[in-house]
Amino acid sequence: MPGAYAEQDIECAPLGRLRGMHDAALAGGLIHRAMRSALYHRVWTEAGVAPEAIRRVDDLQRIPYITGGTLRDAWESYAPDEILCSNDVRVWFATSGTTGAPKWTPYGRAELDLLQRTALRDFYMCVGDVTGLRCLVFATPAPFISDGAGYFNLFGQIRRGIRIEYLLTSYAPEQARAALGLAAARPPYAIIAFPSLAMRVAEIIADEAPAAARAAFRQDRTLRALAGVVATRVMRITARHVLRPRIGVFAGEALTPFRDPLRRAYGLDPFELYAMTEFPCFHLDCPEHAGMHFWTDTCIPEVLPQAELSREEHDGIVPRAVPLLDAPPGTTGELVITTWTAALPLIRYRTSDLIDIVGLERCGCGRTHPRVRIHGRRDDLINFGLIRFSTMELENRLQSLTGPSAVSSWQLHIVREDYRPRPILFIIPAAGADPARTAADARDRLLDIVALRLGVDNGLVLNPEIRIVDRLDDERTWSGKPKRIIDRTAVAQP
Amino acid sequence: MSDLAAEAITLAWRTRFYRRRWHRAPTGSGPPTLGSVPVTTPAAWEQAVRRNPGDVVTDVPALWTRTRHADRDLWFPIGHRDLPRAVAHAEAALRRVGVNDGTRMLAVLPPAPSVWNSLPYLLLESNLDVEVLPLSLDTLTYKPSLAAFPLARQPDVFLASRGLAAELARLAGPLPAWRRTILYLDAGPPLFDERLLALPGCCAPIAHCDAGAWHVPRDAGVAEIHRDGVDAGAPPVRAVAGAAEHERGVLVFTAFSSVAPVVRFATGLTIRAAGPHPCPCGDPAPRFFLDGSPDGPLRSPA
Repeated sequence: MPGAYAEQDIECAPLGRLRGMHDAALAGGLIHRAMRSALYHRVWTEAGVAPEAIRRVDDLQRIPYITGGTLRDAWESYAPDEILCSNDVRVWFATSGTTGAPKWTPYGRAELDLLQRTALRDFYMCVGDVTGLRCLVFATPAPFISDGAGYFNLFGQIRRGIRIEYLLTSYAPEQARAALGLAAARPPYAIIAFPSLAMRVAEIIADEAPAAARAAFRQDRTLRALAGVVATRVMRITARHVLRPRIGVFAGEALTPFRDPLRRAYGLDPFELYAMTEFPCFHLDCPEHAGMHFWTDTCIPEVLPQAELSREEHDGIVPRAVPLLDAPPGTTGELVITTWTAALPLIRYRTSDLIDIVGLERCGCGRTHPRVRIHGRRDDLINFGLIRFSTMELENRLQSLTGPSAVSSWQLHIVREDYRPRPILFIIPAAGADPARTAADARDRLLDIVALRLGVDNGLVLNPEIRIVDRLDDERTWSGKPKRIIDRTAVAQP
Repeated sequence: MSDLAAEAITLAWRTRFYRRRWHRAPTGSGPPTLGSVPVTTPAAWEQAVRRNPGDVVTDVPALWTRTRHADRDLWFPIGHRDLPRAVAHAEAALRRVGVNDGTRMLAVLPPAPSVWNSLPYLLLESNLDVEVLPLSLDTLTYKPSLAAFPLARQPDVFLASRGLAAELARLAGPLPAWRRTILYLDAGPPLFDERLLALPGCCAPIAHCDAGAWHVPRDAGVAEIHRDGVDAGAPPVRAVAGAAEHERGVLVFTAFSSVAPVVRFATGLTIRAAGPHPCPCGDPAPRFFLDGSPDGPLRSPA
């Protein structure tokens, strides 16, 4: 297993040893420490949780789950110092808050160290032993974690004597264009980005290459600049000609629909990364591309199998989670994690991310950590990849239409044209409403949703279609309820 | 002149950019001196980086940052060995302007690759035990509620440029009275209350002391005063450390970089020498007073 940085002892540890690490974390007083937090104290006390009795993974079943909503409620109900389990907080990062108020997460030295270590593992898992390579990072600005991730990686590498050249930039057009100008002259070995935005960047490069080449020649009348102009006249210049990256690390949304377009546009080998702001740990697939290695030494992962989720929806029962290391390959369900971060450990945190367990056996790369794929979200999200908003937001906006544009019922279909999603809003107008006016006003309301409008304006989501219909598709949820959101974008996994 | 300046010139001679500009190696009987090389204009640097960024570096840099000088946004590479030094300089600059251990700081940042984007992350690497709440207006525009938590956390210190501070107030409503506001000079005419300044080729800013003097750490670079414009081939330039009190001119800065020396860079900032006597703040590092920028003279905040 090559790599300038590797924690081979851990990355290739037998599953039994990884299980032992989970039990050791619990036996080491994790629950006792977490109970100091107002996030858990009252609920656990009411549930009769005795921290000293939670010493093994099997014991976790006695602890109630928390969700993103629990976290949000806690931050709104308590002072941060009542929630934190450590005084060592160096920086805060936030989620985007697509399902409500943004969730803020404290990072102390321990969290930053974990983030650096797993990021380094990932980096060398996909690039191998390459020193002096260049890395172009498209980050989302603060307070999102991706603003700091490049710096954390850089400092982690400097401390270990590893030399990588970073060009950190953002997706803001001015910054992105400036960075692309530099990157064209110092082509990156690796790019790190959101897949949809990387495709948008590729489109911009292709569209603007001729004008950029002419401008470069006007500024510098060199042979090289002239060759650039000639090249744009005889061929369509794409990102693969300009940047020539060998690999791409993509996060923030499912890679699957973008995998082939990214390969075509950039000529790179795409790797998929899974991370969440609430837990500073990056999981990546290896060159075998057989699922993302879920770093099981950093947390206790469990999965709520789909059958349990159905029972929860049908019967209101509390679903029973299975330790991920004990779940059979092929299991699909919601990921639950228990972390032992210092500032705020997450105990049985339901992530709302739906995962497929691809394999538990040792990977062809030699690593043992289970391989998973993320295939969607369980919550109330209307998901266009990077662009997300809640079903309730759309419902509220359509409900606000009254009189001649009132809506009786609606259903949103998400289709994909090539790699780009398009929303199609099917509407049954209310009795007495004017269908044409309903359609026009519904379209305005839909585009009033800031996230969607930004997505459309920036070319990440295709223009919505509004269709007036007499009846809606009769698709049902697991529990038999009519579906409001029908996602037709599912693409077979590679 | 320090050994570091001689090293910078020697290193610079290894780059194609300086070889083309200087034509011959700046060596004589002793080590090379800054007086033996011409001033670098922002336009020349910009053109060199645009043509081929490899022309300004001698080795693999760690990070490319962007800084605004003389109305131009310019790329500067920062070396791997320079970053730990930048961490120390950032810590020193922030301590100088009153940031201490235990400070909680709301930092309003421009997005990368602006050099100001890196400041909180340099601080997180330092020994300064601060709690940072980073915020960008790019995200706030999209989600104004992102301002709620940082403001509710009641930071002691508010760090921003003047423009970003005004924009934050527009987006998030009236801002609280901070215990300490630290403004960095990013664009526009300089104001007396701006406390942090970016120098070409440096990842960390410098700060002015309570006496109003901008101190340049001796291992960061050399500040000189160019008294008669910046275009002459052999300009009348003098180190601020040796200049007479009140001598005025344009700040010419040489950054001690391990991979991309920035030699005698004409920043466009108008400065005044502080003179030979010690600074009342007690810092013996060379210093100058800022009188203006290409955007206008130094003035009091409205």
